[in-house]
Amino acid sequence: MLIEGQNITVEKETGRILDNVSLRIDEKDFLTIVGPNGAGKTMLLKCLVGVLSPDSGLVTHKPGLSIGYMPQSMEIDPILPLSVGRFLSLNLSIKADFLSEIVNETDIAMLLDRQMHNLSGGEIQRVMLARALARDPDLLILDEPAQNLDISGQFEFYKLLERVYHNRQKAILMVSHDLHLVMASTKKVVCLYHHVCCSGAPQAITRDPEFISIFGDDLSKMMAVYPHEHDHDHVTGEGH
Amino acid sequence: MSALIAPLVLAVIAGPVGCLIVWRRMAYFGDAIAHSALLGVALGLFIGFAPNIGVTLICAIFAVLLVYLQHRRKLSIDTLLGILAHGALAFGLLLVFWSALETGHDTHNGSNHSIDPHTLLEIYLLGSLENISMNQNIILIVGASMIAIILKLIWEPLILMTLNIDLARAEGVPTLRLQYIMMGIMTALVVMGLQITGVLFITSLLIMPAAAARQISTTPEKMILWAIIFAFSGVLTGYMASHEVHLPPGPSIVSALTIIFIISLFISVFLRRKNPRI
Repeated sequence: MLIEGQNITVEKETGRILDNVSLRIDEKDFLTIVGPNGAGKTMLLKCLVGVLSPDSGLVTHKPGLSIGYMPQSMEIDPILPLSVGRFLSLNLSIKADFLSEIVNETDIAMLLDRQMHNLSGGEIQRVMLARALARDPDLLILDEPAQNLDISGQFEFYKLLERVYHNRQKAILMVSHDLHLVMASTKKVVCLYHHVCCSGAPQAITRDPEFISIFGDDLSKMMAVYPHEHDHDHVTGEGH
Repeated sequence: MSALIAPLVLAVIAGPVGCLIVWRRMAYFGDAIAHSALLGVALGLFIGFAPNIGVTLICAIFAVLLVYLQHRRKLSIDTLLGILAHGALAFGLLLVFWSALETGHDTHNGSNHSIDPHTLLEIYLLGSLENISMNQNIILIVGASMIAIILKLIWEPLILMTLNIDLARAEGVPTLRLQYIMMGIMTALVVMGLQITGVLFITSLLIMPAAAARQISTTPEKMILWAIIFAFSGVLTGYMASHEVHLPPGPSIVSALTIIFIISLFISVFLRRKNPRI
């Protein structure tokens, strides 16, 4: 076990963002969380990483667990002058050959002298992935890593991620809207709408009635994910 | 020449702290703390202890209050800061005049020390380079060295936190503790610089050199170096203006810094034409 979250509940003025969510990540897992906008996916990741403490529930890390975290949509404020190379080793002691290995793997060698705030969306995502890898983590936690990328950019990014998964044998926990693109690599899918609606292998989950009730029959067939209206009741806290 | 020690030490430490204030968007906080300082001065006079103690006390209370209020969400933080800063300034001003009235009354009864409120306000609002004691020099040098050492120790995590607070927290940086340390450093610097630049201009001495330095820098450390040089030039100008032509130092320093900032904008346009990646 790397991380285990038990009955995570987060309340906001608008209501329960997370309602008794339990989730467990083991070594070499590749787990993707899907769900409509505002479902609490980012909040769940923050609780699991330890950026946020839930109002109730328990998050347990394996002792000495090292996490490489990629927050959602890094906006770089141009007020801070910082080169990519400097950012990669910021607050880290990292060996030069390990760093250059990661730089090559994520294909950012030509970005090292560039200023962080001048990077394009795709470049930022690759740099952030490199930073997450530079800590040589047991687990990568990625929050919509292919957001703001065009279709070919998304495809490239997920291919890169799959290479990293196979080469480095890290566990990966990811929030993604692009289920159709991660289907091939992800081992398990968790569908979240404030609570865990359903979970399972990607091929099985698209036939799950809960999944279809949330994402609609046609969309489920397309394996794409869109915001939806709730016209049915879930029994809270159920896990499948 | 010993009159130059305090302003130059202040300029050197204003460089890095000013950059951090600009990066972390704390300029409003600095202003609120500086404005509250006048209340400290006035309370000191009114109750009868040294103004420096009053300033330190009130500024520390305000700093804690601000960090606490930061996490309340009914009113936006800029509204709260506006209320606190100008509320404290208004009460401070009234207290200064009131204590002058009281001591004026005392003079009638035979006591012989009276304070002209206008002179006092000129010194505390616009700054003064006269009568800086050896003690104050020593306090400044010790304070500045301590701030420099602390900043050196927390520099890298501080930069990471500035870039993205979630990332820093996920990587184990104690972000809340660093926020308190930053607030403490800023409060200390405001208190240290207050007498030289005055309540109205201390924040400008911090943020204007940093803003000008940003235009021509590509690393955090270069930005700090330029900020120190700019703060230095500003303070030197203020020193000369006050010694040669008897102008108040606060506005003289900040006028010089404004000109430096405008020049830096032109240089930045020129640099970007040569290298668009800056």
